[in-house]
Amino acid sequence: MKRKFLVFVLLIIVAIFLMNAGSVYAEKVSLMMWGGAIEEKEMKGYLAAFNEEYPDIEVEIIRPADYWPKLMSMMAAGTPPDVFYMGFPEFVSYHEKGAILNLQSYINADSNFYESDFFPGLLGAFKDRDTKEIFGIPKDWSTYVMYYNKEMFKKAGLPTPNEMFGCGQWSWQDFLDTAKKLTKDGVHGVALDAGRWKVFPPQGGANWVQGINKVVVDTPEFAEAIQFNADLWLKHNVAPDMTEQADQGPSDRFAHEKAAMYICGRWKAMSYKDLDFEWDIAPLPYNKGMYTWVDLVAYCVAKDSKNPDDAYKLASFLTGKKGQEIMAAAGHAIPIRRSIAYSSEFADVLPERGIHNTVHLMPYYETMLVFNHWGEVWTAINRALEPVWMGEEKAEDALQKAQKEIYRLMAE
Amino acid sequence: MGRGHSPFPFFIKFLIFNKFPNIKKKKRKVKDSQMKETRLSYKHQQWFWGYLFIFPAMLGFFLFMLYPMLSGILMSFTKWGGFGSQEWIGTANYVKMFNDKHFIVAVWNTIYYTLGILTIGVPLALILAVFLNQKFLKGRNFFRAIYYLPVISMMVAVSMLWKWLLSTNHGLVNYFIELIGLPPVNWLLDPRWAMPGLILMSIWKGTGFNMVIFLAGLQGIPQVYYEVADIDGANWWHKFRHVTLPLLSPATFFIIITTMIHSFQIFQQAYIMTEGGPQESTTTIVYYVYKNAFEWFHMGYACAQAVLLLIILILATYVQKELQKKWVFYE
Repeated sequence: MKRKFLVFVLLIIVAIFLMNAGSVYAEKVSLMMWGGAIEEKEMKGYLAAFNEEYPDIEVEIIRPADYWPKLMSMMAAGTPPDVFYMGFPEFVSYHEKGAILNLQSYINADSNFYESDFFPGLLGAFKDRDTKEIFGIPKDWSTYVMYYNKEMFKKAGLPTPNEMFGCGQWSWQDFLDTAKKLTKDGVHGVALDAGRWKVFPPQGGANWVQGINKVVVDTPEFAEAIQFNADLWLKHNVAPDMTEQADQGPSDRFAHEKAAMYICGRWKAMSYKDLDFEWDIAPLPYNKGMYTWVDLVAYCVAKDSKNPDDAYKLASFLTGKKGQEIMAAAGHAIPIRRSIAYSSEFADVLPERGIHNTVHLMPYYETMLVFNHWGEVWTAINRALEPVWMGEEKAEDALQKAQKEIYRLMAE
Repeated sequence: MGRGHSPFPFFIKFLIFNKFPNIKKKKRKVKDSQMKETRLSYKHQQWFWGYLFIFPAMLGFFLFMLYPMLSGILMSFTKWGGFGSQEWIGTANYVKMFNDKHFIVAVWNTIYYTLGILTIGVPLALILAVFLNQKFLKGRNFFRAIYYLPVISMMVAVSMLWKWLLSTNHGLVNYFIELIGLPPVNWLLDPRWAMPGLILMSIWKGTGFNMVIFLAGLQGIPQVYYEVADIDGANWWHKFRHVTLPLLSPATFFIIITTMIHSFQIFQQAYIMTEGGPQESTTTIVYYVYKNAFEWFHMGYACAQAVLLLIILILATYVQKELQKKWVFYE
């Protein structure tokens, strides 16, 4: 009796295991992503299209709360996700540690890849520095632009940033003058996060990333750019200062019509879609040069992937023409393929609002700044700049301290 | 025992065949060599059941505590980015630590925080407990629940809430400060005030827990001592100082040790509310460990810092344990 019972229990356990194995898909690939629930929902849409083409491959989405620690521990455990998001700065470290699969042979065998269709500087960010082999396929990118409240400009009788840019009058000084004119009645001319200073130094002519181990911030050009940023609230009072930024974030200030302009990346456009006032985007101002910061994300395949063939199929579908077309229509970021980015699918994402979507493609994006000790160097610079934002120290002095720290880090 | 004849280890055999023999039966069947083979001696049975019962807890301890701790200690002697190749570098991480001014700042910040919690939070918990132990107080249970509520709230939610409460221009805390005529404080943006802000918030969050332990301690004090004190003509202060405090000292000791260990590991508040800033004023040891391990690819170095934290905690606990002989009074 007892033995019969034991056998029965064993049978049930075996049955449970078998049930698990009896999935309809022949193959299984895991895909790790970041972002919110909306992004995951969109990803499921892309995957439905993927399964139309590859019905045998089941894709499991992993969306952890803490992306980088999770990816790192999965790598360390030897069970990485097959395909995962990879930012261009993080790529340097992950590639150096040999965690990422070389995709070049897959790409060579893939007749639908069309390397020339990619924005070259962006694809280049995921190539090996020496061999120029591709280790990641960029999925999308974002540029920083100037969001502006059309109605406020109209009321003030000012030409819009797009018009000013068009006739070559959108320098830092023009931008500052415009912001001054728009600052009144509790509304700031411009709102920007202190952490977004990175758009300014190259505009001011600072060539601050001179090599993978050479980061130079103690130049007059760099200091001038930082001081220009800080003086927007310290001296000219055209932007919310640090305590005001802490009370209400710059993004909310723009959405609640407390700021006429706002500097941010492409991703904001989708959450601003339903605002009940007219807005548009324009290129950032320039000083000695034109520049905007680019954020870039790729799909990489883990070197330890159990299923690299299917993983590549997934990555190449999502970055292929069809995948990019669906993504362009969703509109969260700029397509990586030029044929799609310049197509109407992308330009018409926000047609009802009349947004100049192609402003994102302004031709001065191709400088991907990367260097070693990425996170630590940013921390060092940001830490040094904190008193500058508070008006307690001059940019020049703070940057000299940061430079010392950078030398120490790079010497490690 | 005759283990040699069977392909099963003896404890598996036990699991399948043995039928809980009591000592009497065992005596009767000692001569029966067939049966004896499948039985365990009384001592072994004790051994077996004892270990079986603690096995789940031990498994958890070995797998999730001891093993990671030991491998963490090993990793602290390597240069390792979190994955990929490991390189044995001896004590270089420890040498680096003592020359790293950011780490030293983090240690001081952590000590500052811990002292703040111990000197303000623990006495406050005691006062609350004594107060909520008074029989004349109506709705004691309601207040106990209210003070305990923050303990069970999620730290992330609480941190976000306190970010608003500590806001410079619109925060409730500054509102009260201005009500009593003091200038507003730039809590989370001023390096001098960010850590006091975190201490304030953590006391609000954690005091309820200590209060409950003090309450349990207070209710364990026999009433006779107070009656005797009354007869001797003691006032409330005498009773508190010479009856309550000494008899509460084991609970106080427990609270000081656990609060200290807990405070040394402060992370979430710094991570969510201030991101270690402004100007490093809230960068604590564990926050710095996190940055090194998961953002800067210095897993080996981070392990060394964690080991140092362990050593600090062991030393501090040991000192407390020695000191307790002087002031902890066991009934």
